[in-house]
Amino acid sequence: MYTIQGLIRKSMNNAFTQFDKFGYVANNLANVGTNGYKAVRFEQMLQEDGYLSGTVRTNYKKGSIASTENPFDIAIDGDGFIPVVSPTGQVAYTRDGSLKKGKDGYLLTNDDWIVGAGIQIPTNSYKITIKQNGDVVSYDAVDKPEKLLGKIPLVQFNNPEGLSAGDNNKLTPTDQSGEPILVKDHNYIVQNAIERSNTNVYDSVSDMLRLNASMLASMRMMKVVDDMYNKSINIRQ
Amino acid sequence: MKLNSGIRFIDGGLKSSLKAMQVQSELVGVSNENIGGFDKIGYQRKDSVVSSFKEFLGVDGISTTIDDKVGRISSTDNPLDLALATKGYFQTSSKDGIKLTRDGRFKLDKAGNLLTLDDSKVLANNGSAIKLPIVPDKLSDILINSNGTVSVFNKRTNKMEQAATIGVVDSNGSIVFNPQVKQGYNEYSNVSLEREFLGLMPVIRNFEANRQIFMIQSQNLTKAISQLGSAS
Repeated sequence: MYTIQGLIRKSMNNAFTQFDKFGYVANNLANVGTNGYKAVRFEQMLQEDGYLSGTVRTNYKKGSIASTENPFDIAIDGDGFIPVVSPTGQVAYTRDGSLKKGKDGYLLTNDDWIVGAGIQIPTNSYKITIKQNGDVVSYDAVDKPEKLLGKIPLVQFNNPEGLSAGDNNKLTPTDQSGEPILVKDHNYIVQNAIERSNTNVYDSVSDMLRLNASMLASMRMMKVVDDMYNKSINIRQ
Repeated sequence: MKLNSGIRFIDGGLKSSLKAMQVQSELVGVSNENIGGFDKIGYQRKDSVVSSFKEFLGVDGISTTIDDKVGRISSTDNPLDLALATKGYFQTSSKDGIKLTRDGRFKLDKAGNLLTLDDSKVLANNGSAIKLPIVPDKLSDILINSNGTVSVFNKRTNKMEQAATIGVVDSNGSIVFNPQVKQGYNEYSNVSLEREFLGLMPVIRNFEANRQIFMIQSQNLTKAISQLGSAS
């Protein structure tokens, strides 16, 4: 049994939800150029009673890896996250590998979080190499042997979808994600490379077409139902 | 007049016009539901069936059947997105009991349980909830074949370990053999918008026709009352 008000309410609910979804698609497209960005999907669930609900999921698929000139750019060619520590001592995890050298020589993220347990690069370092297993080595001169400065650690989570996303590509663990597990012998780190966002432009466009169609259909439906409503009210002439 | 079912037919023309209008607005409701479900994953369109006794039963003569044709299947990035390319349903168990759904968007929790988006457990063909023996590093280590058998890659032994077979049942609850489970695909609804809107046209016209008839009868009644009443 439907009521006309109920029909209008359902159409409005659907149109609004589509508009919300549009916001998420737009956000993904806006971050096509953000390094290490993970696309989110707004998944709609239609319950049996016609009630519409939604949840936001993050797609942790690896983005494409682009090579760069900067030796402090690293990409994770596999699954896992780099632990980083804020200046105030807070720990978070990130896949954004656009690193830099801080004023004390420490290896920092873009927004000044220390990478791993702190890797200090000496001022007289001639060349820095970051190996596949995360070892950061420095050469004092061309013919000098390498010196190990530290290791970029890598952690994994049982359920990365449960991680909570914070500012600046940082993720923090939650009850759903499980505790971070240190990967012992990883070989996923690639120097002179950066992971691009994993937004799929074609999927986004197809999503937009679909949600646009659904929104317009619901709007049109409101007009149809409204006409019917009007005619029912003005039946006594 | 009395019908077999014991319902008295005492409706006049006015009332049956109104009832017909109510039936049409109900049919619009079903269409509205289908249009809302157009881009929802796993939605199956509803067909409204109007009983031939509609002039006696009104809105109670409407029932809906579910159109169980397979919907549009599109590929996704997530290995835990499943679509059924045959008729059938996944079974999920929540605190509200066991439900059937064609929505195959699943996820893993940290313990390795296979869950739907609203945290119901996905059931295997033996009726128990599916739990992977090991939690894989990445979702692409999970393989689901067309029979619905879930296996997961064990890093230590370099072998695929079978976890369970997803139970796909038909609407009567019996197991579907060869369920054609497609890994990495989602099934959108089987609603086609143009069909819904075209189907709406006769419903609206019928509504308007009944409204006109109602108004004509109402005017006639008004005339009859005012003219018969004036004895001159």
